[in-house]
Amino acid sequence: MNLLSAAIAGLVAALVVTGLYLLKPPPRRLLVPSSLIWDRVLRESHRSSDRLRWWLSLLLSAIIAVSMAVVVVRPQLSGAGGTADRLVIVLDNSPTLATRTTDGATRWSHALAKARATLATRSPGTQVLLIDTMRRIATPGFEDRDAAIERLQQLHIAYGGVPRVPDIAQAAEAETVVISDGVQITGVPASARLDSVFEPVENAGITEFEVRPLPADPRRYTAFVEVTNAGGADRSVEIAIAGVGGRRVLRTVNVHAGSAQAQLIDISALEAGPVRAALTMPGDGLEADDVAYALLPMRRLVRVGLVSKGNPYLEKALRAQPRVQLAAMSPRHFAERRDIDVWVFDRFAPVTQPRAPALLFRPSAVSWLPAPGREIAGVTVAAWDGAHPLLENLSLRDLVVERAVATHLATRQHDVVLVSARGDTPLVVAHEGAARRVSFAFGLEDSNFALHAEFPLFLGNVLDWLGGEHGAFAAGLGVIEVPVAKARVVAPDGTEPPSQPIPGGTLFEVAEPGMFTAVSASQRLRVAANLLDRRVTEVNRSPLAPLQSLAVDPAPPLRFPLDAWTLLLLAAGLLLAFEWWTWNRRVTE
Amino acid sequence: MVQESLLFSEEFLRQLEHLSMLTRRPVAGHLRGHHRSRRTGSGMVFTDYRPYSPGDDTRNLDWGTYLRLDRLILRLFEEEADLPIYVFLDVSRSMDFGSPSKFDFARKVAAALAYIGLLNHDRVSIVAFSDGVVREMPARRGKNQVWRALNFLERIEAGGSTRLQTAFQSFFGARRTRGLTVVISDFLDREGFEQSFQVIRRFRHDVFAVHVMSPDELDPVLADEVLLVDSEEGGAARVRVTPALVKSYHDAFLRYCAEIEGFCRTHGWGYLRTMTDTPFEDLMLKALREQGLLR
Repeated sequence: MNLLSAAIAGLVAALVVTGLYLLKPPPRRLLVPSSLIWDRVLRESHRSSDRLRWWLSLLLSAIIAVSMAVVVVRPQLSGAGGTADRLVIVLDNSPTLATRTTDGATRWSHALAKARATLATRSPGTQVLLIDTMRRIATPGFEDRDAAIERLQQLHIAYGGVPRVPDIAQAAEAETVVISDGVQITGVPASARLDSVFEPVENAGITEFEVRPLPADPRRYTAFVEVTNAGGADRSVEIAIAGVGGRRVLRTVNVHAGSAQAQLIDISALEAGPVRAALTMPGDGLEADDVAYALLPMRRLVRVGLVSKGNPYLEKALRAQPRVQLAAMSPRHFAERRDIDVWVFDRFAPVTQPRAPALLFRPSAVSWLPAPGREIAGVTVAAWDGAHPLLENLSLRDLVVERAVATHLATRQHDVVLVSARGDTPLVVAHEGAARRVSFAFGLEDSNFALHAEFPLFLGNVLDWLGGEHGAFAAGLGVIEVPVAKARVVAPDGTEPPSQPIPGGTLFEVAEPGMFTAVSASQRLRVAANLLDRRVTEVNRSPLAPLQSLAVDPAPPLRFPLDAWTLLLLAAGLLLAFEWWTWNRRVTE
Repeated sequence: MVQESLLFSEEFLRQLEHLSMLTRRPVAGHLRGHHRSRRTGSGMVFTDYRPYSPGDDTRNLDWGTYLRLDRLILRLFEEEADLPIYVFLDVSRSMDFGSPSKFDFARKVAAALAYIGLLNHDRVSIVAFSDGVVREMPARRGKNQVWRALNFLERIEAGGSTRLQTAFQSFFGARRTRGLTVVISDFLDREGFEQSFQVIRRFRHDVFAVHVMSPDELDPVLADEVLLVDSEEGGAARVRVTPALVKSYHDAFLRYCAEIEGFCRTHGWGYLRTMTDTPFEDLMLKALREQGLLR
C-alpha cells in the first residue's frame, strides 16, 4: 500500500467521521414550562466555547479514524534517517563462511547477525531483496522486512560452485549491502556496501587425498595427502588415515605458513574399503577440510580371457600382470564363460555382448559396438585424456599408429574418448556404462604402443578399471551428479539423503565429507565426497580488513518492543479512551 | 361536578375553618367584618381620642376624662370591616407542568384560600390569568359561596402565556377596594415580574406571592442533547447538557426565585415558595401560617 492509498483511506475515514458527526440523530424534543431561565443560562454560558469543544471532539474523532485507517492500510513509509524503501542484502554463504572465529561462533553466524541488524534499522515496510552468493534462493524477489528476516533462518552454507554476487543485485537499482568474508566472493558491485565478517584464523586442511597403487608393485597402495597451512605461522599437524577394521596410520608433518606439503603414506596394511584421512591441528578454523575419503580397491586375482588369432606379445604382457589368471583362446573357440572377469578381444568381437567387461583391439563389426568406418593410414595422435584413470601416469607423446579404423563414434552415452587423432578421430574409447569396455581403433601390431614402457601400466590400469578395482567416484561437496541412473544414495551412517533422478544419472546433495554409495538395479558406485579445495582452505585470503571484535551473537539493536503501527493503534486507542472520557465527563460536549 | 383534586378531607376542612387570612394593612372594606379598617367606628379596638363634636355618639364619650379635665373627649374605636381578597391564579401553559402539575396544585391552594376567606365572611374574588384576565369570579362572601368558588376553579383550564402586568393592569384598571392580593403563579413571565408587581404596589394592595414550582423544573433530568421547547412561546433551544450547565440552570432558577422573594420582602409583601410535592396540609396549616398569610 503506497502513501497515496493511505492518504485516500485516511481522508475517507475523516470524511466518514465528519459525516457521522453531522448526521447525528436529532436531539430529543423536551417540553419545558418556559425557556426563560434556560435562555438566561445559555446566554451566560460561552457558546463559542461550546462550538470549540464540538470542533475539538470532531478533531479527536477524525484523528482516531485516520490513525486506524492508516494502521489498516499500512503504507510503505520511509524510516527515520532517510532509510531507503528498497534494500538488497547479498549474503555470502560460501564454504569459507563456516570458519570458526575466535569467539567460538562462525563467520556465518556473524553474517546472519549483521543481516538481522541491518534489517532491524529499516522500517517494516521496507522491501528487501535477499540474495545468497551460492544461489540457494532460487527465485529471489522483493519482500517486506519481516518476511526477509524469516527467510534468513532458511539460509545455510552451501558447497559447490563459485560464490558470486548475482547480477540481479545490480539490476535491482536499490541500496545494496554485501555481507561476506571476502575470501571467494566475486562480482561485488562497486556501489554496494561491503560488510565484512572476516577474521584471520589458523587453519590447515587436506587439499588432496588419493589412494594409488604403487606403479612398481600394483599390489601395494599409497595414500597421497596434501596438507595446506592457511594460517600465519608454521604448524605441526597430525594426519590419521583409517580404514576398515579400525587400523590407522598416523603421521605428523610440519607445514610452513601459507604453503602446502604433500605426503605419500603407505596404506598397504589397510584392508580394502573406504579410507578416511583426518587432520588434527589445535585451533583449526574450518572443519570441513579436515576430513577426506577415498576407496582402497580390492586386491584379488583377475581372470582374463584373451581371444586372439595369435598375439604373443599381448599374451605375455597380460601374463606379466600381477594377480592375472589368463585363459587364451582363438576366436573359433570363444564361448561365453562365467568364470572370466575381463575379456580381451584382439581383432575379434563376439556377436553378442559378453557379460564381463572387455578390452577390444580393432574389433570386428558387431551390432553392440559402433560401426567401424574406413581405414585410415598414417594416424597422428592429437590428444589424450591424462586425467582418466586408464591413462593415469602415462604419456602417449611417442605413440605411432600406422593404420586405424575411423570409427564413427556417435554421441553414444557413457562413451569417453581417451585418445584421438587429428580431426577428432577417436582412437581409444572407454565406455563407462553398466558393462564397461575399452575399444582400440587400431590393432596392437599396427602401432608402437606395445613397445612403450607405459604399456604394462596401461594394461594394469585397464584390468583394474574393467575388473572393478577402481577408486571411488570423486566428487566435491554440494550437489553431486553420479552416472548411475535411478539410483538411491546411501550415506555413511546408513541414511538415504534425498536424491533426484536425471537422464543417465542421479543428483544428490552433500554438506560434509563422506563416502556415499549410489545403488541402482544394475550398478553400484562408491562416491567419495570431499571438500579438497585449496581456495576454501585458504580462509585468510581476503582483501577485507579484519574486524577488531565480533560478538558471538550480536544482540539486535535496542528496539522498542512495539512497531510503529502498533504504537499508532495504541495511540488511537488512547485517544479513543480520552475522547470517551471527555465526552462522558461532558468536557467536549 | 367538583374535581377530585379540589376536594379536601372533612378533617382538613375542619382545620381550615379555624384559619383566617391576615393582612398587614388595615382594610377598606365596606361591610362589617373581622378585619381592622382605617375607619373608626363601632369596633372593639381603641385607637384614639378626639374632642367631641355635636352629633357624635355620646356612648363613646370618656366620662372619666370629662370629670378630670372638664372637657368632652370622645373615644375612638377601629371599625372592623370585611377583607377584600383577590386570589390571582396563574393558568398559563407553563403551569401545566410536572406531576402533579403546578396548575392543579395552584388550584388547590386557591380553593383552600377561597374557602378560608369565604368562611370568615371576606369578599373573595378569584382571577384566572395568563396573558390577561382569562376568567374572574366576582367578589363573593359567605360560606354558601364556597361551592361556587370551587366550581369556578374546576372549570378553568390552562392556556396562554404568562403576562402578569397585563393581567394586573386589566383587573385593577377597574376600581377595586384595597385588600389582600394573593398571586399564585410560577412567575415565569418573559416581561419580568417587577413591572407587574409595581402595578399592584401602585394600588397599595397587600400582596402575598405563592411561588409554585415543580421539582422537575428545579432539577431537570435531561438527556445529553435536547431541544428545549418553550410550552408558552413555542420557541426551541438546542442544548448540549452538561453537569455544569445543569448546575448553572439550577443556580439561575434559585436566583430568579430569590429575586422575586427579595422584591416581595423589600416591599413588605409575603412570599412563599412551594414545591408541588409538598404535602398540601403542611402548606396550608404550617407554611402559610408561618409566612403570615393565615393565622
